[in-house]
Amino acid sequence: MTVVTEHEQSQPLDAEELVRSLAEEPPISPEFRARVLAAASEATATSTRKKGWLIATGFSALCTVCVLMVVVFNWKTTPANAPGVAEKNPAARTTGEDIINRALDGEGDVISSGVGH
Amino acid sequence: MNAPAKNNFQDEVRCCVSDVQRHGVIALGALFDLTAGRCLRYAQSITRSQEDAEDALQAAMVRITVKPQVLVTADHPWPYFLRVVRNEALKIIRRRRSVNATAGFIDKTVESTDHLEEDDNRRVIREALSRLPGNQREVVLLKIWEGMTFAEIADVLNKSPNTVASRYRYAMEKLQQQLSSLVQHQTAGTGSNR
Repeated sequence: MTVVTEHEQSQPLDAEELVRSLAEEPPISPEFRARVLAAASEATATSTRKKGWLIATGFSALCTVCVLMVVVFNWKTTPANAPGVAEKNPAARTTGEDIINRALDGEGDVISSGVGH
Repeated sequence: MNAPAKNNFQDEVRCCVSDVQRHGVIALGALFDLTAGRCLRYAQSITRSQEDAEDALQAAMVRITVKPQVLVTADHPWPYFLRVVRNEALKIIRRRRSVNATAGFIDKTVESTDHLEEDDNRRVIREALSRLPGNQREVVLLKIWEGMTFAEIADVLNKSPNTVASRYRYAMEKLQQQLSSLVQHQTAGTGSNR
């Protein structure tokens, strides 16, 4: 692989000097300067708004997920005959005490199971 | 000989961008005043139109203002900045091509240079430059006008230094050829007029 150095490539051409003679910076109007600064200012404000919106959205999404997790966890760990649940669902209210009471009253299959004797 | 001045300029650019990062848009004016002329000249050499060059520079400035940290952490902030300007200029050219207005703005450029009433030599050089292929012209302008090394130009153009160097060599050969023939033609024209 050939290594190119500045000395090898820079040719002592008049063309180089001629091109250099054109190197003048174009004039910049104050209106253009003001326009660029205004555009930059607007872009910064938009970027800040977007960042704020993203943070707010992310935070609310996180909160929603947390609340859902708590709800699911409670639902999974609450027994079916827990006081609150049993009131809503009478079928689930049957406890060992109920079975014994019913057996003493002579109801149902409980007698045949021998609990009444 | 140019190196200290160039490093100074790099440092100034880095300093201005750090200010933009710290203080926001308020500090952008200094960066604009420092770089706008050179950036506009470079963008104009790509787009060949004053308006498009201004749009490219504006987009680049906005980009730098929103994310100044990329320029602050860059090894060579000035070539990086020129790369941002170049990318924006190329985007604008691509958009122009899609509306098929290329012919229009080349005519406009020629027309606008006619209005400049510059002396014949400058016009001849400008024409010779505009006849170069875009990628070679870019290298010539970055090398001669910006005083960049081939490594820095390679950084701006995202090419290898060897590619950049050979583009420069071809461009200078063409320029010398064109300029000598144009100058001869001009001299002959002046002679026949006499």
